[in-house]
Amino acid sequence: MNNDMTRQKTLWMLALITLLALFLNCFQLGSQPVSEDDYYVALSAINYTESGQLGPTMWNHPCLRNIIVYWFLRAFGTGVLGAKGVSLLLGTLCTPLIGLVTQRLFKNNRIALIAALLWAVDAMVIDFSRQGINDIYLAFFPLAAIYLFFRFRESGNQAWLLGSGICFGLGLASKWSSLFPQLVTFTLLVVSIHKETKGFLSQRLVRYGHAAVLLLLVPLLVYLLTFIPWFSRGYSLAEWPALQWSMYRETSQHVGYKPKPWDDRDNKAYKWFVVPSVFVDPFMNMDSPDGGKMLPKFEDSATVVLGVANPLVWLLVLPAIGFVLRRGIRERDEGALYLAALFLITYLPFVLSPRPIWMNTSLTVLPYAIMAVACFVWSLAGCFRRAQLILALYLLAVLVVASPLYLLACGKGMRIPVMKEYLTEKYLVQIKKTMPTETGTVTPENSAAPAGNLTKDN
Amino acid sequence: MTTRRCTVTCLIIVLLTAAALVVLDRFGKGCRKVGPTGAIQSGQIVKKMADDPKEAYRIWRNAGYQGRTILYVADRWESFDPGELIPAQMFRAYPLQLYNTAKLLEDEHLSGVTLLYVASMNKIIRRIVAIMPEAEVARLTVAARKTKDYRVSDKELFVSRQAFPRWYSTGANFGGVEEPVLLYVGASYFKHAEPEELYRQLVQAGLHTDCVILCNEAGKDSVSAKEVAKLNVFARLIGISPSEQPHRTVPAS
Repeated sequence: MNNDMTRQKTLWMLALITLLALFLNCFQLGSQPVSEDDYYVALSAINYTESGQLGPTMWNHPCLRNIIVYWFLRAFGTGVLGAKGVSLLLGTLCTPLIGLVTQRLFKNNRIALIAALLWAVDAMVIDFSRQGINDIYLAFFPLAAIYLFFRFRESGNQAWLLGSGICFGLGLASKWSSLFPQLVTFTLLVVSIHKETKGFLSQRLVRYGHAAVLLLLVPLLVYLLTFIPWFSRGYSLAEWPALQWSMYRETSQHVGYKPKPWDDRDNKAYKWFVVPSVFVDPFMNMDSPDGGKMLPKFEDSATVVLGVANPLVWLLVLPAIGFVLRRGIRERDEGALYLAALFLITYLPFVLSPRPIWMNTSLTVLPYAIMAVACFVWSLAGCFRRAQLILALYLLAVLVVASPLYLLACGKGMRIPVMKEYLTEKYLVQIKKTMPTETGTVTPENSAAPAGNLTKDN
Repeated sequence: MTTRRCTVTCLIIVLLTAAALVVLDRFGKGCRKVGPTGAIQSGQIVKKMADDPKEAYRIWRNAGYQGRTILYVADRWESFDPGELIPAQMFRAYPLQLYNTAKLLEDEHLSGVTLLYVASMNKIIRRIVAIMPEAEVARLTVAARKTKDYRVSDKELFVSRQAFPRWYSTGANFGGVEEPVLLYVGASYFKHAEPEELYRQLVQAGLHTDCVILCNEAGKDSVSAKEVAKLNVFARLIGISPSEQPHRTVPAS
């Protein structure tokens, strides 16, 4: 199939897709009810940055989110931009990054644009770009690091590699799962150094050391520095490993901060790309025009945000990875092998994990999955005589399916008549039982949500 | 990229990392605010009687202690769910009404039960070492086995809650603390122990402190006049006359 698209035109197209992503991520964001997670993300930011205190939400994860959200709150106030601005920004910036990284992996502008488009309209991506919690960081920082890594390889300028190391560090400081793409990238660099320095042992050793310092030590340093507020509580460096151990113990055995008041069996990572999957986030917010003096109806207060995987994309992921891996091996295609490794090394630990892994974690692997799907559909369409038409029809079908999923990702499900009954029956029965039932004045006794939403489990 | 440039970059980053480690360590230790220290019978440390834990908290607060290890001596470990202190916010609208949890807890939820939690939230303490009766340590050991981060040895129990470290032992097994502590002795401890015994155990352990607070724990169900009398005996052992208070408070440096 034809790949003759100029670099300038590609960048323009990428910019347009990024604008689309920005629009989808921003649309009516201010009117999307504030979930408990959003609220507690803001509180945790204040707690951590001002008092060095972990929690109240997700104390076992590293603390970068708290620091960035805190400064966003300081800069933009406690409105939607302060509370969710970071996720919005990083989620949107993932779109051009997906395009730029895909272009470098496959040397194909059209595959890059397809990947960017698939990312921009994905309901899971939109869902988490519109939330305060930090799962979208896990897509952004490794992607930014990989992009900078490619810039280093193109130019030889080590400042790019330093930037890559810093971004990997920021990823680690978001969640530890960022370590997987970091190790894959480090391995690729070591392999390429090995090839380039045949017969020059001392040069090889120095460059190994250089790679280790920039892609292992720098991220560790960045990670460590995000604990400055914790050190301000009087802790010494000798006490820091015990903190990491506690975090590790909780994370490795985590089964949820509280039991979920709905059927919560959809928490196996192997299912993500095998059956249609959904991330469920129901919550109550009795926000009312009179400032909360009167309780609104239950249905008017309930929001169910659903991150539904677009089956036309997600169910292609495993065949696409198989295809990319095969291509990498047969054609000794470094880009394809790198992508397959990024996906597999990041995804398999989740699949093999004995503890529940909820679907929000899929954002860690989704960038690589979508890049592989873009390459797969491009190559598959190329097998047909009317390749461009088939590709266009596929993308159109993806957009058609994505449209209703978008409404669900924005929490509009309860406003859709048929969906309202379905969502209430499926996710809200238990929550409803614990809520004040009558429409009336709020008293101190019933003003506290007894169960409400639960923090995301990771 | 030349080998020389690679080497220089590596050296700079390694040195910067080493410097960062040293600076972070010194920064953390520098955040600890400690007054003049000495053994518990020393005349240069702050020694005070308090009627209830709130008063004890205010003494720590006013003296400016921060980042400290507390040696907490009482008859039982008070358990509560911090999540229930501040109910989940039912109304959440922009602009969000946010607050500093530590400050809110200090202003509205300080009590004998929450004392240590509030002190930890407000950076006064960073570690807890507790001396408890044997039965209480045994009860806590059973409870700890259901948690994810704990260690049990012959001498003590270690448990962390949301990474906040806590050690529990009996007076007989108490092996001292490697740094000066804030010492809090509640009258309730003497329901099961004698003041001379505790005094001997603390002295033998080589305890160093800058602030001793002896708390009557007024209102606590396990405290009667008998326990308060024993607390007064302990006070005299360490050089406080219960009637001649308050003692001087030296600002922490």
